[in-house]
Amino acid sequence: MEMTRSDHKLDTIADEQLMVRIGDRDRVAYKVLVDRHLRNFMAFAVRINGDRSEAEDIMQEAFMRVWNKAVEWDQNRHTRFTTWFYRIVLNLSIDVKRKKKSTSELSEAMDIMSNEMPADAVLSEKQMAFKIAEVMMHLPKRQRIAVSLCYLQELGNQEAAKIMDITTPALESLLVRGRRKMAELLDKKREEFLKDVV
Amino acid sequence: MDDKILDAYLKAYGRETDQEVSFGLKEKFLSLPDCATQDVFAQDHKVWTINPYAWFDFMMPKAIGWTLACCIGIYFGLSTSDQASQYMDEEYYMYNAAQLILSENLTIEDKNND
Repeated sequence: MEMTRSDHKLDTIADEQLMVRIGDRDRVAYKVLVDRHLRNFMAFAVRINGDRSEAEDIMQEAFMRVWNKAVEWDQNRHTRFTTWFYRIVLNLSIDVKRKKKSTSELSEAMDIMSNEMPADAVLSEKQMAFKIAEVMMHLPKRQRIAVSLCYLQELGNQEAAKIMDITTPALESLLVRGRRKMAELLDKKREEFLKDVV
Repeated sequence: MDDKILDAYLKAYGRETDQEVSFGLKEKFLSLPDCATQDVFAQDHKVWTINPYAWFDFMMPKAIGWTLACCIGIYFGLSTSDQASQYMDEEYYMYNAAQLILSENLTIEDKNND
């Protein structure tokens, strides 16, 4: 899909207006929206699900909903596109998790990787990421979502609370418990590993 | 664990999961509207109300298709109309069917040794 000079004007248009255009079956507007949000929301889906291929499926379904539901998009409701889209991705992720009983493939891979880590060595960024990914997967679902939205997606507490459909104090409580749990799990892992080495 | 260390872990995880989406995957997402077939008529109806030329673009291929289908139907319908079963054919078929029924009865009788 090639973009003309006039189409480049769409780059400056707000997401909500793009949705109205998508409702009129404007493919260029759809392309702009995908370009703008695919990477960020894909990262969010990966963080919630712990599995990239699963995240891809979720994002495919989510963008399909953007195309189909854009016809019903009402600008007068003053809903932010990102809030609405976060909810869609979140609900799809929860549905997938419900269907899937066993732990994700990624967390299994993490177990193998974390056992290979040197004891006192300074962890590389990749190793740190693998470790925290494993810990994230052991967090309760709501805590994981809250941590992902606020610390990784860098959203404000109010918006994150709106996406999760809870009050801001409830979200803050989830964040505090989430951080505490993550710190505990990371300490525990380090101790277990040191014991194995000694 | 220190808060700063935890933040460093989270930042590393954030960077690790925030990867560039491949060109192929992006193309897959961009082609999603082609797969969306839900409420085609409702959506296209909306297109007509906004842009009258879109109605022409939408209807012309369909109208040509329907016309062709009708012409082909009429052509084949006319060419085969004189091949309808005739009186003699029906009589011959009835004769064959009767023979078949009779032969079945005979077989059953033979099996039972009546």
